[in-house]
Amino acid sequence: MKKFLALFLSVFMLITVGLTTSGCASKDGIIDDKNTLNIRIRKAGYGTTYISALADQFEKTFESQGYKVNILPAQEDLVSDKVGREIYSGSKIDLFFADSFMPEFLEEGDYGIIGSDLTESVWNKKAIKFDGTEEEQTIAEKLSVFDTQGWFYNSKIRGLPYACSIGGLAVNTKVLEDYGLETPRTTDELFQCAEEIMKHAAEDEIYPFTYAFQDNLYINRVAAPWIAQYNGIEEFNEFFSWSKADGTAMGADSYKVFGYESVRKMLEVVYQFYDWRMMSFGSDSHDVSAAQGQIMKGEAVFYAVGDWMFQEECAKYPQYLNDVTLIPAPMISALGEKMFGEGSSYGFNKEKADDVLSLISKYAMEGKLAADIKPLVDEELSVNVALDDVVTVCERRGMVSNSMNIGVIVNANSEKQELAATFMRFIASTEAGTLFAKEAKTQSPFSFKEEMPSTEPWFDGVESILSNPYYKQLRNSQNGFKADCGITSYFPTLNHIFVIDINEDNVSKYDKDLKIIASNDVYKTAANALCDKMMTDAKAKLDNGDWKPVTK
Amino acid sequence: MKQKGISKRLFNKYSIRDRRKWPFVYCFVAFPVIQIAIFYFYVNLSSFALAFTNSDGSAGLGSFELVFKSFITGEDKLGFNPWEMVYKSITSWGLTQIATLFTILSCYVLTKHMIGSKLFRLIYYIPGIVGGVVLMSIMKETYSHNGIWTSLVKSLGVNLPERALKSGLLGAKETAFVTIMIQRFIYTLAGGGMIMAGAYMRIPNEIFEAAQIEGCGFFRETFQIALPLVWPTFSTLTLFSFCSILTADYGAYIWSNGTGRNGLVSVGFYLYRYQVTITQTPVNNEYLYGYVSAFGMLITAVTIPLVLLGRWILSKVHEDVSY
Repeated sequence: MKKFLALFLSVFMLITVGLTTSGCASKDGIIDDKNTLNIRIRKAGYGTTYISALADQFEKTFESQGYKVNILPAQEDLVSDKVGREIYSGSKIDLFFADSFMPEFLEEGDYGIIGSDLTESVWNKKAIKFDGTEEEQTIAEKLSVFDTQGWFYNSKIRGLPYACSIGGLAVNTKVLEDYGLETPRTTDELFQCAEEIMKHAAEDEIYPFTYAFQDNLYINRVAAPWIAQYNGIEEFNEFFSWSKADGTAMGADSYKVFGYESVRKMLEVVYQFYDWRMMSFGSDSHDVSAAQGQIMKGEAVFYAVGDWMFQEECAKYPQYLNDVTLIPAPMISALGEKMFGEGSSYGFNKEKADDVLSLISKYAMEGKLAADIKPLVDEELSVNVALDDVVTVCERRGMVSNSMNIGVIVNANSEKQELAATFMRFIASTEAGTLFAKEAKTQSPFSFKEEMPSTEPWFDGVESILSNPYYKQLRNSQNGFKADCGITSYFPTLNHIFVIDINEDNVSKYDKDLKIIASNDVYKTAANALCDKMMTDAKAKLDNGDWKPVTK
Repeated sequence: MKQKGISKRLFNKYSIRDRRKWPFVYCFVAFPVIQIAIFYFYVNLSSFALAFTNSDGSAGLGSFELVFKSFITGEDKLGFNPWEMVYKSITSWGLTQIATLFTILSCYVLTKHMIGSKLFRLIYYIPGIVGGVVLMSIMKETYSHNGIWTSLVKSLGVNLPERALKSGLLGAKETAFVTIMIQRFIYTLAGGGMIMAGAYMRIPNEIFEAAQIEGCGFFRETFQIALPLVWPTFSTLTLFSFCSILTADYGAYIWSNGTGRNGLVSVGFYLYRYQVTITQTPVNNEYLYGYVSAFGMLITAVTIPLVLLGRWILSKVHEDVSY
């Protein structure tokens, strides 16, 4: 008996070892069939129901061919690095719907080529409709309104964006209505709303702003447009790339970007936005979910976020769905001052300059073109604004923070390249985009011209941002010389989440009794001081070689 | 079977009966050996190699230079102060050890049969049973601006800073770390005693009965009889804690939502936070892992002598007593 027991235990242990080590290469539910696509998606703001809906429709469309889609369990941490490791390790997953991908990572990253070249098989082909026929435009033509340069590397494209991921301000319009306030269109109007709300804050316990200091940079969604709005796209690109428009690296002069007027003006607004006495209860310690909940419930009014917020919160707060909307980053009022204010040819005072900016912005968001906006503004405000200036404002109004790098790639080692490409072309159809919009409660880059699937104010907000004829996506990821130096944040001499440092400067125009004790100049002073310090620190880092291109 | 030389001597050293047990024993230890080979030696050797890799991928001491530089300047690439992290880690550890000393006494008392001792024992076990993450999430709510603990502190007349009144005890620099330290102390008192209680309960009752007959009082019984008898358990636990003095997270990640704000940092948190930042950035910068690896190696180099010193001190306090 003892011998038998010893033998049994020995065999059992061997089997356990064998199973455990074979578990390292577990198939994890993968179906190894030439007509079945295995897909892994990221569990994030857009939820997971969209992929099931798309998969079901794909199987219906290609029923005669017997194509199937196997959706593997969603993962919260499915970022590009993890996808790279999986593919490098021989994963049999065919498609990955993950977080942002950088194109160079898909081709020349640590894991070699991980994404298939989709230039000819998907990008330059037409999308496939639900009835199996092709659409009229190629996918490249459909996406031409977006800045898709972020997907190109060595003239190849190795992924496809599947979400617009637009950013702006979540606004509780019910609270604004209760206080008799209008949705702001400029930053001056935003802070006027904030001041009005602050008058009642001690009593009502409703504050203008909420935020969550977590490992994300949602402020990006308004900060990037504020930089671009002030001095245009060229200066914006220089800030994010430390390179000139012709691609030349700024090199040792890169520190100067921290002193650009557009950056100073942006920081001035951000300092006021992160005035800690204007923040809601718990902002210093709660998480994103709590902050978003406060917006839904009306405990705070403004929150910088992306279009995914509604999907994340709608199930938890069904009674508040009509109380919130998404607006684009309000126009930075410094632009109005610069273009129409006392130093300009118009010579308007601050308020009138802002009124002009606000009104042009209003009509631009209604989808009007500059030529139609000019006479309306001239009449309403009794001014004579140059058409060129109206065009400039409209173009700056159209600049929206997008993360078009949130996309899907085909495993370069997949044996079902053709099937995967067919699926990609399928999800790029307008019908599939509409289906995605319905499930993910936001808009798709493939159907953004279509009506949103619901009438809730949130969808109106998303739609108005994308249907703006001057819509321009801002590519606000670090690139160029800045990326070559391994710099991955807005302000590398500050905390990775720079608003933490701004908030901890404790700049406020309010006292502890919430009375205004200073002018907005406190924010300007703080912003300028921060920019000057960043310039000094950055110059030192560049001069002594701390920041230099990382070569392999 | 022919055996030659040393192997023959080794082979013949064991009886046939012993040799028959070998297949079973080898199978049994195969799993942990393979596991440690892959998940410990291979992983650590890789980290070791990475520590000696510069940011451009070449071999060298560049990563160590960056680590020393961050200690000299008091700031690293993420804006954290390495000295603050070390200080917070050591403070957290030290407080835990102080709480553990109280635990020794409280656990001993709990093993005495008195009314309510079983109930108290159950209550003391709960923090050890409920998952740490779950517990922390619940506790975070109690530290919010209108949470139980914040209200209690206010009712005691403590003048909380404005940020704490607005965002709770974890929302202000002045209160965040202190709050976590107090919470850690209380929970170590309550939840750190399971193993010690088990060790006390192993002691034969006859020893205490004999001591009482001899006229031994409670404290003498505790410190001169009970404690020496459980000293091996206590010293093992303490030694394990020495090993993680500079690598434990101490809950910093959850308390600070992963940001390390308001002074809620530790070395363990920092190492994790750094590598999360690397994986999330769009730039391919694998070689910055060298910095984290070098940091970890430095921590190891500091921790090893601490552990050896701790072991020596613990062995000198009480000799092993068997019963």
